[in-house]
Amino acid sequence: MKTAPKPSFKQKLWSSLEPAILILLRDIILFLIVLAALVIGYAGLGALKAFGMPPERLAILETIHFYAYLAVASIFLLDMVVKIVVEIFKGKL
Amino acid sequence: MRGFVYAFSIVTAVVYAVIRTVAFHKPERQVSFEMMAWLLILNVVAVLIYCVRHISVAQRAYTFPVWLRYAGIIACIILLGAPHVSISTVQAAIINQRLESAARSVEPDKAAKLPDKQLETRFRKISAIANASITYKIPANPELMNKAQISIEETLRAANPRSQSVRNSGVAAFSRQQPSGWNERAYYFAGSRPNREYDAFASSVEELRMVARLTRREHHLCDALSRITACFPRFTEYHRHLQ
Repeated sequence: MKTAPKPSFKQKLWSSLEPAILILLRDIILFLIVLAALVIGYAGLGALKAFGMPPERLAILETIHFYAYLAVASIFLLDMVVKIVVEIFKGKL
Repeated sequence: MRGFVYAFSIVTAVVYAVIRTVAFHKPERQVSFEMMAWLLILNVVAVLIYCVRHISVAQRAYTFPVWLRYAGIIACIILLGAPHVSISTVQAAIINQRLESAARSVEPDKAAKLPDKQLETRFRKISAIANASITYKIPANPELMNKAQISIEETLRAANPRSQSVRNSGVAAFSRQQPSGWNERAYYFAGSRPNREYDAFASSVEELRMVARLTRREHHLCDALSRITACFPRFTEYHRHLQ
């Protein structure tokens, strides 16, 4: 009768991290996509500046852009904390 | 549902923060905290609504329609928030916003080459904003008023408009930005209580002085003052002082 091979350190680490990573992975990918969109928006602002858009109008767009970054980052952090807490209560972690 | 809540809360938070920064000129740090608080509250409310809709604790004898539940929550938020909204602050923010935009429209680099008609329209707009602020006692931001004043002065100097009505409208807009200073001096020298007749006189003299100074036509001032004081003999002494 064969005995199951002893799990390696990597396997042990993955099995302990897997639930948390799977829970957060979807949101991390979503956050990165939104972040990429905002970076493209930032490049667009740079282009508008280069084309000579008046600085006072550009300032309003930059304000919107900054708050969009902040809002997305805040929501992501909030979501991450809430999810972890909920999963701890459910007993999955 | 979750995605909708996130998208809705982000959009409303960004709109709120931009309005607070651009229209109310609140510091960025304060607005950032307010925005994060708004996001937190909105998400907590969304979680509560979800719980109310999907988790049934006991059999309920009656239920409200969904639209009525949402309307009730919105009404509660409005009722709780209403006492904290200051009408005068909102009015001042609107006046400041309009004044800032109007002051920007008469900056010398933009307005100096405009046709007289357009220039006059822009000056009149500033006068109208200042008049509304004075009439309804809505406090405008002194920095903005100063900025508007400087822009008008520089534009008048740079454009040096030929039309008398443009000059007058520019000067009127300029003088409306400082409603107290010159008139107070005029009252002091006249040694009389301000009345409507004197107010009109002081205002005319003030505007003429501004026209003369801003358009570098000092020699016109004496003639104009003579004509005015001929209409108001009571103020000969005051006229002498000005000369």
